[in-house]
Amino acid sequence: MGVLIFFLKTYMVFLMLVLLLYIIRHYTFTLNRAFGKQRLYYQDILDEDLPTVSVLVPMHNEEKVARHILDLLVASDYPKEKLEIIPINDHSTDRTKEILEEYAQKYPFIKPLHRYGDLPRGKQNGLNDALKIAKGEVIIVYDADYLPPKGQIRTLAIAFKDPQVGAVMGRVVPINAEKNLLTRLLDIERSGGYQVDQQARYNLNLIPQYGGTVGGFRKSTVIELGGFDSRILAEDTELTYKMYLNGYKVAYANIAECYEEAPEDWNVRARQLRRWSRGHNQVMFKYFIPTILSKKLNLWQKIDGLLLLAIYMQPFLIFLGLLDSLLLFFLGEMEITSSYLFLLFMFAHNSFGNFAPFFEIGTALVLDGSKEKVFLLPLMFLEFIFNIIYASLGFFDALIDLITKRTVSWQKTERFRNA
Amino acid sequence: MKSMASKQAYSKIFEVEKPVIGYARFGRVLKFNKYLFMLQLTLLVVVFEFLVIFFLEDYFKALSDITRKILEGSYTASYKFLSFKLEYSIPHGRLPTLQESFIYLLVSSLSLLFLISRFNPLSKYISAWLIYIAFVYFVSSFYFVFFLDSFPYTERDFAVLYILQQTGVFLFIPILLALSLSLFTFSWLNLLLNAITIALSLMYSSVFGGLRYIVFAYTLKSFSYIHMPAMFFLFGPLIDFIYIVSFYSLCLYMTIKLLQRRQEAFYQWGF
Repeated sequence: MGVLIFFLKTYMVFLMLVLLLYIIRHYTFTLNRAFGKQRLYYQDILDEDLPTVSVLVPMHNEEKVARHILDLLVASDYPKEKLEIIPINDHSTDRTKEILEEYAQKYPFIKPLHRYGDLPRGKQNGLNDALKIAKGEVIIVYDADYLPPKGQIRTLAIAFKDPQVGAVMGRVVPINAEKNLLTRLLDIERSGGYQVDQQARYNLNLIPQYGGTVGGFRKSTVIELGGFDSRILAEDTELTYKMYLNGYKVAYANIAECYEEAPEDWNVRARQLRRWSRGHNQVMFKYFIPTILSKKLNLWQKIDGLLLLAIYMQPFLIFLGLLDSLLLFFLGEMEITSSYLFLLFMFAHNSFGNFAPFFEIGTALVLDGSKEKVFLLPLMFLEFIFNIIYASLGFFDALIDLITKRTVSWQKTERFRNA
Repeated sequence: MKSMASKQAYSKIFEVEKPVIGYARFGRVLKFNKYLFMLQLTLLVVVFEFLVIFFLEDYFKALSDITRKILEGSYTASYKFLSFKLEYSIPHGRLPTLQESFIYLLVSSLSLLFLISRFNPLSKYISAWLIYIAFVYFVSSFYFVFFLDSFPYTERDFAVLYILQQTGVFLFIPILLALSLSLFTFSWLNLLLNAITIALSLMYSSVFGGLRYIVFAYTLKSFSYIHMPAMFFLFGPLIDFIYIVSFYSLCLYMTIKLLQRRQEAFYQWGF
């Protein structure tokens, strides 16, 4: 029994230290973004010699949103002779195919890729196939629910003038933030995640993340690095680590804001979170050791890289911490449980309340000038157990993927917009 | 070629009509006064920690007196924490009967089954919380059904642990809020606002913490120890976090509201 109690107490101490590490990381990011010298993006480069660009739009049953994004991409000010748009129709059973064909008839630079039959479903598989036919030097990716502004392709593509840049990422802003409580919470989460977290990581030369949409990559580099792993759901996180481990970097464009449709339903959000957690943890299992051993990363990049890899494991660690403290309680070790339980909840909420601590989101909202949204901060607690459950389930999925080497299947996020 | 006069007239019109260029959100940072930051951080932590330590014994003495008056059959004792003698009053608690424990076990099990079933119509985030609550009660009632005699706590232990936890909350509030709020250094008004926020949080915590203690003590006396895990795992520090962040967000709102008329008062370019 003594050994068990020692083990349980040791885990509590370990968990506190891990959570404290995340708080220090986020506090550093907050200070840097709020007051530090911001690193210039490439938007000031005025060059007529723009790279050729292929815009890929993965789609599976996207009849509600397909026209919106295609209309906006057609209206883009990027020179049309250097632009092609490849909507990837991935086994759609609704009217997506007809809509894409209609646009392809009207605009010669829209070249849909239809994937049916035995071809495996999933964004990563669609992207691999699209890479084989894409002619652009630079690939820009948008999910189908995104609404890119007129000049954004240029803003993103210009970063590739820097030969070190392997990928670029813009800022995601929910368009339906006012819809309900969930979309409001996701909106402030995005605010903290992009306005502070991503920008600070870019400023500090750490690991800003390529997010798989409102972003792009250099085609030749990705092909050279073997394309996307079909067994990994978070192709974006994987690409980020591939880039850094091979000496390339990810540029973050805070100026490149693009509207997205945030999930309006908790069931949809639960599936999305579980998928993200599964994909992210798959990447963690694959790249944890290579990140430690990499000769291309400096010490701080390694530390940040490891913490970023483990971010979706945190909820599972907190879940174990709750079980641990319950066990300690019934074993009569409430004194340590009482003091640590207090810290556990405080630290957990700080570092994980909404995948970003409240002070990071608060600072982001001040930077954004969104004063009313600050009242949503206490409501983050509503997501606390929800996040723990669904991110932990995603962790288990990834663990089973690792053990059984099973084939993964992609689950599309449901759209809410009217066609 | 335009004449000098028309050039001047043109530039004058341009200057008059030129809109004010705001600091775009992608590249702006907050104005920062490192002296005010350090001063706020030091003052807020030192002053409020001092106040907490100064009033700690008196607070628990007052709470003890109130509890004794409200809850019949309470007895008074004290706990020595570092150099503090913290007094408390608490009525005798009771263990649950086997029948009670079994009912809780049955209800919590059925609730868990329903909540994870496909027939559950509740929203996922509400279900998540209910699953957590049902799970804590399931573990608690399971323990009391099978290991009733081994329960390692009395009401006296509970009171001591509660005191320790509440002291932790009091000590943590100034640190947490000072670290989060000292970032805002737009004017001396920030120091005042932040000090008021921490003071309000501590006052709220002392009232809320006191009421919570009395409710918990009453529950242990009238409804048994089966609820004790819920007191720590559901209605303990988890709830404290909510009002602390609420005060933080109120302070942030006031900060933006008071200074929003002068954008230049808190933004500047970060390049």
